[in-house]
Amino acid sequence: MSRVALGFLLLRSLRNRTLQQARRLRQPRYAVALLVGLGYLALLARNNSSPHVPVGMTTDLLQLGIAGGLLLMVAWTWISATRNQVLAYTEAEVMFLFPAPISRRALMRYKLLRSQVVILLSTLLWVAILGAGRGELAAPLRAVALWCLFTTIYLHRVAAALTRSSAIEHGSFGLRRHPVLLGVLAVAMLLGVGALLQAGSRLMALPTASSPLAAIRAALNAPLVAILLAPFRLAAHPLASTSGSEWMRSMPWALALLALHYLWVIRSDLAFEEAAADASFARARQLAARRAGTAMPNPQRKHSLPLVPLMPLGPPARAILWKNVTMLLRRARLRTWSMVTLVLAFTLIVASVGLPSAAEAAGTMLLVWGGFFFALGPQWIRNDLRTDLAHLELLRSYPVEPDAVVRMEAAASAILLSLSQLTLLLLGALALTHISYPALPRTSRLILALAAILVLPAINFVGMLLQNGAALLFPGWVRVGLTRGGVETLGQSMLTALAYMAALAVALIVPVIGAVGIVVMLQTWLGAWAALPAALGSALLLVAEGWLLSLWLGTVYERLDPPSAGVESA
Amino acid sequence: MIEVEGLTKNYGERLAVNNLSFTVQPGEVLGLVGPNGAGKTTTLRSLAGIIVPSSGQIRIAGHDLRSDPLGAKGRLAFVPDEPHLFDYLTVGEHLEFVARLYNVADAAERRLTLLSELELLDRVNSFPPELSRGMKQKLAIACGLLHAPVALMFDEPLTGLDPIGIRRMKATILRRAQAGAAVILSSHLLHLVEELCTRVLVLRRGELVAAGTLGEIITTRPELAGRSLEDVFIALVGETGPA
Repeated sequence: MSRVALGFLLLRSLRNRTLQQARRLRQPRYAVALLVGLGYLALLARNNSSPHVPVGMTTDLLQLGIAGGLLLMVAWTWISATRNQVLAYTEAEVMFLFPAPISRRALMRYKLLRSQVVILLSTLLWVAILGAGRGELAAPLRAVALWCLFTTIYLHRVAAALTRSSAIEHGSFGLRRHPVLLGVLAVAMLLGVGALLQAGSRLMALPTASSPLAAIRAALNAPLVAILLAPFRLAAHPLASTSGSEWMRSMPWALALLALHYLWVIRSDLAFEEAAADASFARARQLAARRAGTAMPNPQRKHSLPLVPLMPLGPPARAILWKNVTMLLRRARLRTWSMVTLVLAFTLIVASVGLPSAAEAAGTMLLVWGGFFFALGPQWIRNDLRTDLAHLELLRSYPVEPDAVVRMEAAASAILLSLSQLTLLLLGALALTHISYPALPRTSRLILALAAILVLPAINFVGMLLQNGAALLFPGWVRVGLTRGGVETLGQSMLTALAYMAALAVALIVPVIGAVGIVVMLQTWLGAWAALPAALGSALLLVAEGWLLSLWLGTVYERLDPPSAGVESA
Repeated sequence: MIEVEGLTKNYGERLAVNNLSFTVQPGEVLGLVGPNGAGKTTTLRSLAGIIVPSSGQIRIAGHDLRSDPLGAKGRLAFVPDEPHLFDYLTVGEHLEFVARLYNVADAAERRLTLLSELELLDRVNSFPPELSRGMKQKLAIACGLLHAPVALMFDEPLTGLDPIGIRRMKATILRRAQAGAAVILSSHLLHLVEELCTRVLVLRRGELVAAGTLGEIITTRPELAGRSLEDVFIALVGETGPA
């Protein structure tokens, strides 16, 4: 009986949610946005329909790359200190389902089934984004490979969260209940340490003139690294296949891996009850922060002083900037800064021991990561209206000009995003200091770095205004809150990032024209250094654009009716 | 003083509040009562500048909320039924934040007085998730009172408070009124309204049904003489409870 009830809940919720979204399309702005989005997806699918393989990209290398990425993701899942949101049920689900005569296993199956909605949507989007016909692999086969990969990752995250929760709740006894798992974890850890040492020695042995690609390949092909990567390669192989026959050969292994994960999760139902309820209540507390009946201290959170004290007198709008920066640093301080320190230490060590190929690989990775941060960072750092829409009623009652609220909200995210990007770029540049590129001498690199310092904050400010503008214009479509989804929401994130980049490109037209004009005028006197006044000029133009945009968005913010816009207050 | 003239608010085709006019003088506590969906919260949100009325005029201490929103908002405080707090700011930092928003010069002194009055002194470094429901409510109220507003609006202010907290809260509200603030209190707790409010505004489906002191309302409905506010309320909104 419970299956029927849970099925009803799942399907009826899905239907009602779809209808609710469809009703929003009666508003012209939602309808236009949907049409633009669909048109964009169709364009992507058409452009990607012809078979093409990037130059130098072999199936093996692609498989290795995906496997490496999966390894990092899984490692992060296990070492991440915070409890995983992946276990959380909604408050209503906890209230109705937990006391109901439903087995925990049925509840877990319901949870897994519910996640399939997002995974399937993400799969479709990724098929469109990545291209339907890379090589000879048909789109449906690629879709199945993606679905299998996403589901396996999702199951792994659930299993990891359950295991970690069990260990936290029951200490070593919790782990001792799973001797096989404990053994696997111990072997994986030993293998990881051995693989790191072996990869390091491989890198040390490389000739100094080796390319970054050769360095990465040498590190990943070290025997212990290869053993560590083997299960990840099994999961990645169907996606990297270029032919139907290769897909047919690799798919059973990927499905077997998925089945193993399913068994792992479904057999963890003893740990499930406490962990899921705990995670659900924690999420409810974080998101709603209003219905908790008794004091619930959070031992993971320490009181730390804000970076800058807030004086009681001065422009009121700056209080919003202070609030947002303080909140984000408190939330992400440990994780973010430990990551930054690790990367910094690694880069400096590599650079200092005089390994040009490894230093070049590290520098290139840092710059690539900086590039990713440029495109995806605005979605990761969201301590602005995308979070504060949950407090819209409170914000609206403050005596602060609407456009100033929008500017300060966007500036808070832009400051932190700029600091993150510049840290990555400067560390990358540091690692590449001793590498000589004839096409890009050191003076040019210095000029580029200085130009980036001048222009990136302005670009991020406009970019964050665009992100906040989307939240104000389409509050029904924007996820309110700081939490990011897992891999199952990557498709939507990628699509949003592409739309964001397109909007940002339009915003950059005038500043780029201005910058080119300044370079043309000053190049005769300043040479390559003309890039600096050009960067400054374009930054000023961007700030002016941002100012105008914030004035308009201020009127949108002022008109936004929380109930009719579908904004739920915290 | 709070002055409202012809306040109307539509949500699409639904009329939430229709042509509402009233005034709350300094020192007065006005009770806003009505059944669910009567338009009480919409009225309070409009008065606090959270939602924009479809038509009508609102003045807070002489400042028009439409033409001078910052002047008006700087003199009012709205305490909603659910405390809206920022998870990553401590109790003390919430007050620092509000002090800057309203440019409160003697914030440190006022902060101490309020924290003491609302029994939050020992929780000054706690984050909202570490507070009980009642403490959160007290913090929201402390934030509302920090800038000494001349117009105060409370939406179900006693929700989640224990009996001692309820008594202190009633005293806090009365103290602000006696100090010259114009107070509007929306609540379903009719005994609270009867105890604290100098006048009552009864709403039903967005329409004003009755306004004035209990005595003034009974003058227009003599058959209700000698009845409690609860009986008067049920008679006015046209709904009957269980026998």
